[in-house]
Amino acid sequence: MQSIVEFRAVTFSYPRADKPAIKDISFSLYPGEFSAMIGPTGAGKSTLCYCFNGVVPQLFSGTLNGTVIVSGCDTCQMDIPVLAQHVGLVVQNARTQLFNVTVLQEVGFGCENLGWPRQKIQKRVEEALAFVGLSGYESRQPSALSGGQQQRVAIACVLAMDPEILVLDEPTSELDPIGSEQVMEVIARLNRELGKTIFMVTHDMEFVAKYASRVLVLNECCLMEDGIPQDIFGKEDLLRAARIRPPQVCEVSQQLRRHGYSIPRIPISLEEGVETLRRLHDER
Amino acid sequence: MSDNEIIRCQGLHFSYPNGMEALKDINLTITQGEYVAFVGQNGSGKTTLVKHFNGLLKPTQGSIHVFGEETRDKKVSALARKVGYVFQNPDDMLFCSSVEEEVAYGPTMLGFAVAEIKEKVESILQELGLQTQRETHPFALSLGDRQRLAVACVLSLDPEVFAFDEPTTGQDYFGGESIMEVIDQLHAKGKTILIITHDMPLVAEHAQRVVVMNQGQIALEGTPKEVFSQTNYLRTLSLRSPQVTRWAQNLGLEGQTVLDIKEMVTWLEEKYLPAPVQGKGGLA
Repeated sequence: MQSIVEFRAVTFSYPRADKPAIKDISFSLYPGEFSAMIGPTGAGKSTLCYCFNGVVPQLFSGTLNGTVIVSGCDTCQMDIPVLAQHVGLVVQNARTQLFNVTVLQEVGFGCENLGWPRQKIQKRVEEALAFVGLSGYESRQPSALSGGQQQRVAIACVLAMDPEILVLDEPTSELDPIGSEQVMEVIARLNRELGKTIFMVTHDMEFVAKYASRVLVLNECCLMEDGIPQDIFGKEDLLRAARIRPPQVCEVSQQLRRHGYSIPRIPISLEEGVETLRRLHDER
Repeated sequence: MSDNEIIRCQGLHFSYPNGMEALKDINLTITQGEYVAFVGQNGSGKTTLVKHFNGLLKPTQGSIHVFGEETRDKKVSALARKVGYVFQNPDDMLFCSSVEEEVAYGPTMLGFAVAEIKEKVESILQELGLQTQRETHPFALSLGDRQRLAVACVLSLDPEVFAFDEPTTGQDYFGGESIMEVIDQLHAKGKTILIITHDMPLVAEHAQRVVVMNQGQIALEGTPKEVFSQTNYLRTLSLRSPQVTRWAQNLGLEGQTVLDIKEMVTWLEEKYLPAPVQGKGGLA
């Protein structure tokens, strides 16, 4: 399959920084994948997100070596508005990116700036709001919404431009647990129902286990590991080095395994955990 | 009033000037040395309530007594020596041009002697591991270190009560743990700890008492075990018990509630699973 995103030996340094923010990063994403990037704070995850739509290095200046190709475009060569139609970035703490008086204006803002005709914008905004479950909120003030609703408005803003790829930087970090689940469900449906390629940065390992089909581990500016969640959460040394705590289900299962229980495959989700223990329970 | 009662809310209501009622009929007593977690969905009133404890907000109806005195006529500066408040976002409270100055600011404003301030600052920087960064500009610190600096600033006033608003948000797991270590140490020294958080495993592992807020009211209150035993009710309040708690409930554990990994492993080995077959388990 043809890749939709390619990082080729990408190194980026901010001006006057004594070391690069990301170093020698190479990976490809394929259409329809749901990838999660995990790693400690300061590893370079947000910088890497900004590479997808050309904000690094076009707006955030610095030195970029290597190449980032998104939907066939070199992100150093292509204008950011063009890239925005291929890749939607929802930044960390997205409420800071909301500034319009109404939800309708907010979600239409990107499309307006692309100079689309009025009817097309109206249709896209309507569809995007329906998709994130906020139909009827058009005239509400974004700043008066709950954190989870604000995050879904931010997702609708990029969704309205209908990009093939969505990059989300810690989309649930400031939300209460159920607000987080609602946002994650929207992201999962973007992937499942609309076939969007998802690249999500998160510290919530339970969500990684539940939703991602692939996990990339970034630590000290470098890509340390790239694999399926089952494999990544099985690597205790790697996780410790990258300051990551796997889901509780994994930790408990690993301890049981060390105590002599036969657990050939470490469960990573609650459902798998229930199944694994029921099997052990019945094995008398 | 009992001797060690330090905060008492009686029929406390609070409405914002726009008429929005944020707190309704709060009745709550906190005694010296408690470790209380305030949880609830975004907008449930947690922060609004805690801001009453140091007089940042005053009730519009009902009363609150802090150390036996009604806060209504008290200045925030007078209460700051008794109840320290660490903001959710450290950047909301940092403004000096070096770490050292920042920590010295509070005691300087309160008119402490120069020698005493120096000694205080020194011991606090040591305690929080910030001594090598004393000259650094606060905004040049990592988020984790800014968070520690915010704690240091409150420590410098040596209050009896520490209120932390989401102290681990945006931290990776180990960063969060190191902040919790500082908080646990304060508690071990006899300080009263109040903590607002969305992190339920953190509540399960650290707090002694949980206050669940919903739509401006106290919806549920008790020990972590009492509160997390009610997973289904918590869901309606937009909260999610720790994964191990839900896991054990799914497996049919009744009568007691598992709070953390250690308890889960113990319960599984003692009550749920047959003894491991020797020589069969322990796959690498």
